[in-house]
Amino acid sequence: MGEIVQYLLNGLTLGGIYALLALGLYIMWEASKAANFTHGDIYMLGAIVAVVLTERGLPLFVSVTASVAIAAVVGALIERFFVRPFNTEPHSIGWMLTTIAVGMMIESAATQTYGSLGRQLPSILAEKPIRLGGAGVYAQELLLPIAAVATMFGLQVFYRRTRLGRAMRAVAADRMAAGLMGIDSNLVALIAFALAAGIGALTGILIAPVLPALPTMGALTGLKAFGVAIVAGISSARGVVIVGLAYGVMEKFIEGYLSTGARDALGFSLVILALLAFPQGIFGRGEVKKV
Amino acid sequence: MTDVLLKVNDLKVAYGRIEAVRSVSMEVRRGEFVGIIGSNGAGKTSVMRAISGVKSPSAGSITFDGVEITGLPSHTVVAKGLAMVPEGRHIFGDQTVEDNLILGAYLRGGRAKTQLAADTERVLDLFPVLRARLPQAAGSLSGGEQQMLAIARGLLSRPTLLIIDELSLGLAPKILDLLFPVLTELNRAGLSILLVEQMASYALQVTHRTYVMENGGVLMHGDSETLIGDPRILDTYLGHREAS
Amino acid sequence: MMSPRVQLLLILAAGAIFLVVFRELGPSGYQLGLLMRTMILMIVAIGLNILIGQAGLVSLGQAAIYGLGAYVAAWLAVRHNVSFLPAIAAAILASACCGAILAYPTVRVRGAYFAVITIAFGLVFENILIEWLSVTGGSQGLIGIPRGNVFGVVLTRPIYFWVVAACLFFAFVVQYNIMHSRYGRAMRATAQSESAARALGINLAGMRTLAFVISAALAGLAGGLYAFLNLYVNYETFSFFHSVSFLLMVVLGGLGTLLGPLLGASILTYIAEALQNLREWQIFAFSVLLAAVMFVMPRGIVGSLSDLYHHTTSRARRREAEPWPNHQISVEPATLMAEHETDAALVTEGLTVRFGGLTAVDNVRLSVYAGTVHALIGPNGAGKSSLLNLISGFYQPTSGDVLFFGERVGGRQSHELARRGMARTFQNTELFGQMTVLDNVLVGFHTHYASTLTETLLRLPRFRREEFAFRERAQQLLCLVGLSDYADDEARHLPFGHQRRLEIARALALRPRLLLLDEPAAGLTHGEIEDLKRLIRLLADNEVTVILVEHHVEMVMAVSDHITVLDYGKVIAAGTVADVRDNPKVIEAYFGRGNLSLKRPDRLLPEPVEIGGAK
Repeated sequence: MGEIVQYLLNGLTLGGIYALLALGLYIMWEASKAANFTHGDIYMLGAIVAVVLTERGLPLFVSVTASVAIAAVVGALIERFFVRPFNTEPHSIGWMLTTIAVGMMIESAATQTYGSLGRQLPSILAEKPIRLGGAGVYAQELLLPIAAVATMFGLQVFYRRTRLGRAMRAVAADRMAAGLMGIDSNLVALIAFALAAGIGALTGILIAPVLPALPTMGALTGLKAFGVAIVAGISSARGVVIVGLAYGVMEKFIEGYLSTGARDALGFSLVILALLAFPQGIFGRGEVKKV
Repeated sequence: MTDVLLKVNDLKVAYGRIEAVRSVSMEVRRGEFVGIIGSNGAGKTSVMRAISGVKSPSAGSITFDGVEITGLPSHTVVAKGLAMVPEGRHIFGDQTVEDNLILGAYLRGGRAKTQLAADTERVLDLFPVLRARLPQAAGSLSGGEQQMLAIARGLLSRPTLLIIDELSLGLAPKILDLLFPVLTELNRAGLSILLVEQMASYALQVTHRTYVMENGGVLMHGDSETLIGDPRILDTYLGHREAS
Repeated sequence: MMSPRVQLLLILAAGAIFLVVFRELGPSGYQLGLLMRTMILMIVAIGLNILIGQAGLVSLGQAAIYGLGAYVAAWLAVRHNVSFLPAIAAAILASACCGAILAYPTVRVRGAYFAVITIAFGLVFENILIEWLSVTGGSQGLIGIPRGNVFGVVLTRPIYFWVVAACLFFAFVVQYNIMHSRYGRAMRATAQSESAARALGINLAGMRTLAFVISAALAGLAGGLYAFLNLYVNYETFSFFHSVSFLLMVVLGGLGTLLGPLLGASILTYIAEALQNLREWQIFAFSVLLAAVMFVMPRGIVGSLSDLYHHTTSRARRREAEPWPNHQISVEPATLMAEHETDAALVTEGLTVRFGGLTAVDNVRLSVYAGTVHALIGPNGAGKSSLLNLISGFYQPTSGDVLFFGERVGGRQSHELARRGMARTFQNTELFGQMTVLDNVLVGFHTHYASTLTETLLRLPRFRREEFAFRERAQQLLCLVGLSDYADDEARHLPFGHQRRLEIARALALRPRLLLLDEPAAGLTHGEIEDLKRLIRLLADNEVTVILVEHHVEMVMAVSDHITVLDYGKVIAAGTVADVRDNPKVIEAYFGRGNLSLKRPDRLLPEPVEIGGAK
């Protein structure tokens, strides 16, 4: 019993990471119909920048804010220089290659400067584990699924109630019509990438007190988040959060009852199977092409 | 009254190496109701896309309200007071009717809330059927209602010139009989309108002047009253029959 | 410009000379090994070039397919003492099967979705290599692969060098033979316009599977060769990073070009060697290079150079279109097959299609007689195009059936209908824009080739005969529509009116019994419309049945034998031109009431008032 609860809680933490990153991919996809293979590295960047700044003696709050801000700027730059010029036609693949390249640059630059030793961010929520149904967990870990769900609802309010959010939805639905409303869709895409990168960095920061920040923490996690987003059908916020959390829980159960080695092989096989069964993603909308 | 609001000079629009518009010059005077007719593929929509900044022209110039707007992106053009209701309406189908109207007023930002509310009331008075539909998803409206919403949305940016591309597209004559009077009313109230219409019989009856486009150029233009009796127009666009 | 065949022979000769000279210079063991490794990577890159450059499918898991070949060969050799040739054959077979399975999703998903599937596949494979200790040797890999042995000859490195070179030459020739055949054309066609490819009888799933199988088989061959070169295999060579570098090789060299993959693979391998000195920064430099290439040469080295060459050498020659239809060119009469002898070319029975709540086509009954021109008219949104899409298999009917020369074909796929002799054009012209005008027409002959894939790959006599005959006929069809002068231009550069002509020529290549024309006059000038009318009559005179969806009333009245009028998805009138012309229901639906109960706005305009008025 305790074991199951333990896997469930740890899985939700892991799933929270996937869900938050997949939400970022969803935001970017909506605004530009392109995703971003650097997203996992932005998540890593958020964590290690916060760790480095804290180590330099900056107050936690300041380093966290700075880290998120830096990530947002990086996200905006990536949109402007590596996505927009390579996403000019409906089936463009250029952005895949350029963002993969930038992702590798960030990771290898981080390895060279930060080193390959993991370091943790201090947090009062990660000092004493809480006992829950025979399982032990840090409060910090519970923050992730909570943050994912909160971000989802926050996005919903943002998209429905604010001027910028409405503009983003308009751009997502119909770029041309959005332009005719006076909305600058390039600017909206830029902001969307910055927002997504900010959320990505925050995700890295939230997990850094529990999981040591490492330059290699991003790449695979980013790919999994991408898989989660696509399997969910990237155009549904609720979908990516549900699939993200479920994927994390599933991984922990596979780790627990089978082996750590089987985790990724099984997980990615399920991704493939899910896409075969739901070619538009589980929560996705079919796009009907008119002849 | 001869004040020129929109002036298009020797406009060319190309897709790749294919020229959709070869050389088009036209103008809309302040307060005027101007029509463009012509068959499918004549280049009407390409001209409208160039004017509204959806597609940059390959040559020529467009001046609006004394300011050159050639090649400006559409969000800038709208800000200058030129609104377009695009071909196929392009309403935001998964947002509510109300959200669509709010997006129409996007450029007005959060300022002048009371005036915005008043304007919204006025467009809803023009199209009362939309009032009951405010909380409904715009995609669930009928074709005619969607066209009304598209026009209403365009009006909320408080344009000086309203361009409507293919008003009649896919709409039944009954609905057109409802829509055209509204345009006339708006024009009487001082709004300049440029109407692109395939159904020549309608367009010629409501507009002051009409340009006839064919094969990427202006074939002829003149007073709509005169054109409606022109044998060439009768022949080509009214299908060999009297329009009345 | 040299003919492609001469280019191929020159490249092969230059390659052979280079290899001989290289060997004569007495290279060190390191240099020899490096070149062999490069040649193996070239084979993978060639396969990927066929997949991406021809079929337009981006795989981010190619390293895994390559790895599968390597592990299969290694496992057979180490654990089962299988000798070189059968091990290589098994490697090719395993990879090809894997490619066929991976191709399955492309029927339904493309773009980012497909990329995720290939990435996921690659990661699953990598994990299996590490975890399945008993078979793969885990992270240590499989070691102690014996040297290959063919008919008693031990493949020492100097001999193996020539084995690898021979395989590379083979792969290169396969690439050439695919690109310059109906298969390559069909693959490019599916990448550039799915709709048009289907309408010409190409089975999208089949063509994509073929591209995948060929590309995977080459990767498998390369994998097997690698295993017997390196004598051990390890998961590290087959990671996601390597899939990305394969992609980079192809993009860097130039997608879809003959030489691109060779150039890309050699540059990257030698650069990677040079970057060894950078140690930790190697990956960084590698990715900077990747990004730089995308910025500077999005069409790759060969692609950009050949663009430049064409730009500087081809003087802008004015092309002249000939008048069309050219009556000296015969149109093949569409003869009715004996077993389907019937005078109704097409009958629809209660055909209905609903999209959501909207009934686009409502219980339509239509009879089209063989050898006649039958027009479908009606106002915008009346359901004409939907009906056309139902007939040609692009939409599946909600209910009702279609009889094509007596055969029930309701619900059949468009490519199956095309094979039965139904051709169509598209409202917004769907050409294969980046293919030449002549190639566009040649795609139309796809279903008429009898030569098999093997005959094509080996360039056997039947293939040559057919290729020659269809080229002749394609030229004739271009002549028919007056576009001979444009034969070698890319289709997307044609003026709009000429695009329509080309689309019709391409449809005629299918030798249709029934031709569906979707608004063929839209965007044409008066003169061109006159030509089009003549062509339609010419077709009808040769027993080709024509269904014409058209707005241009005058043209419809002039060329049609029968007219069906649709409104709101229903037939509101049908009959001869005279019957329909004066039907009051038609007049109202089609022309509007034409009599508005409103007055023209006053000539004198009032002062602007509030709503939407002056700012």
